[in-house]
Amino acid sequence: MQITVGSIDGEIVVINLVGDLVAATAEELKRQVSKLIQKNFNHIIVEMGSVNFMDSSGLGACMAIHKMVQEHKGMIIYVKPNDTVAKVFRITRADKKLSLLASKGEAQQILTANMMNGG
Amino acid sequence: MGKNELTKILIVDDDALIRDIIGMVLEEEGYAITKAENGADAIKNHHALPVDLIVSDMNMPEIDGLELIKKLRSAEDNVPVIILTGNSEISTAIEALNSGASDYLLKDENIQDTVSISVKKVLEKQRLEDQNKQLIADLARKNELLEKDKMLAQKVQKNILPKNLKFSGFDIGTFYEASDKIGGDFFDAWETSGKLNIVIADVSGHSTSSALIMAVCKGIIRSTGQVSSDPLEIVTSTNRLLCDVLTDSGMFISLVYCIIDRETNELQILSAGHNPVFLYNKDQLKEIESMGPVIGWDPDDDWEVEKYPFPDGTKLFMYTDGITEAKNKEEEEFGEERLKKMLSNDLDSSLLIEKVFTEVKGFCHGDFPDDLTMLAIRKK
Repeated sequence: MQITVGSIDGEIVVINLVGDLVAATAEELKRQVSKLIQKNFNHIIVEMGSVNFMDSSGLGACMAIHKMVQEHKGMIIYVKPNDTVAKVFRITRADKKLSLLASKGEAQQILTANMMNGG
Repeated sequence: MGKNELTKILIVDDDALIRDIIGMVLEEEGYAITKAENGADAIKNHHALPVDLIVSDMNMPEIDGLELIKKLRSAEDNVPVIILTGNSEISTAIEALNSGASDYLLKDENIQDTVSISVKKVLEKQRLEDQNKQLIADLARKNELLEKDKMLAQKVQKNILPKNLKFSGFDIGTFYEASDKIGGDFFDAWETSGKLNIVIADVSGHSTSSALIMAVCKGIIRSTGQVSSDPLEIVTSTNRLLCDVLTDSGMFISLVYCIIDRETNELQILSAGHNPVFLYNKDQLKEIESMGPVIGWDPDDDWEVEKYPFPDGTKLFMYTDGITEAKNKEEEEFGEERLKKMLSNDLDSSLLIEKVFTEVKGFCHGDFPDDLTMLAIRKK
């Protein structure tokens, strides 16, 4: 899997994932987010559109980084998961616990508002 | 004491002057020097007192430099050898290197400098090779220990799962196989006061930590299930205890808890974020979807419990996603539809499980990326 970290206006972090989110790559994602939090970047968009497959370790990582960011008063939004990945979020009810959105623009608006409210 | 003093070098040359010049240069560098005037003596000396490096002339009577290397290598002695020669032909250099010489030096006016540099380079290369060999040997030994440990863990884990399950009036079939010796799936079934308790669960991942959580979770479920006959109470308290164990790791468990009451012929079922469970009766296939989140994420989570009649002939089939996510060569998943079609025939539970496994194994050519667990139970 390819994990590319970028940003919008130097404030919101955009993590683009390409490939399968499984055990080995899940650990790498956790490491990357942990490093970002250490540098006080805790408003994050995770682009899921190019994730073909996500196993339970991948879902575990999504939940773990969500909790990490929340603890630092930040927010993480998962954008555009494909049908296979969305099904995993739905069955496990992770969709009720994580923020999932269909567009990056909408995610950016919510994160910006959250930052202005002191998040 | 010089830093090279423990490094022993044997100089072999039939020309005493060359032996002395090179010996003097290397002694100044701090190496311990021994000398021999021909190949036969060199082998004798090296056997008596093995050295770390040999600097040898190419042309000597009887045993020449190349012959010396051949004799050493045929005795499986890999001591590095630097060849010295007065012959500047490239073919001689190639011949020396092909025979296993570590370096090749021309005996010219620069020999004092070139021999010193070459010795350093060859010894460093040898040190790295030795270190590499040692690391590979260490790794192989550690891997072997790890494999042995995993085999033991596999035996222990298999013993944690129930064997030869039998309940009067029911036939039951189970299957469990970890993708890599140990895994995070489990099942359990037991009877208390006329109620059959049946569980199937899948801990996220399939690493050692998944296997540990599997053992903890099974223990909690069984002990809670012994004192309660309410699936919601059992799953809720198991969730609270597991949230303490899993903290913020993101790990979780999807599970299905069922109670079949012999007296009322009723099934109570709670699915916590698990794949659909199939209930089959009189040609009617009911797909029971998850009724709430997986466990281990939030101690305050809540679930619904569903109830279904469970008369004679009813069959319940539960599985973990290793079955439906098994892929063929075209990367196509086995999927739920193929599985559902197989449930329609009226096989004994054990035969059904065997048939599903054979079918899935054929589909993915035995290449299972995840743990596989199935449990089927039918009221006769």
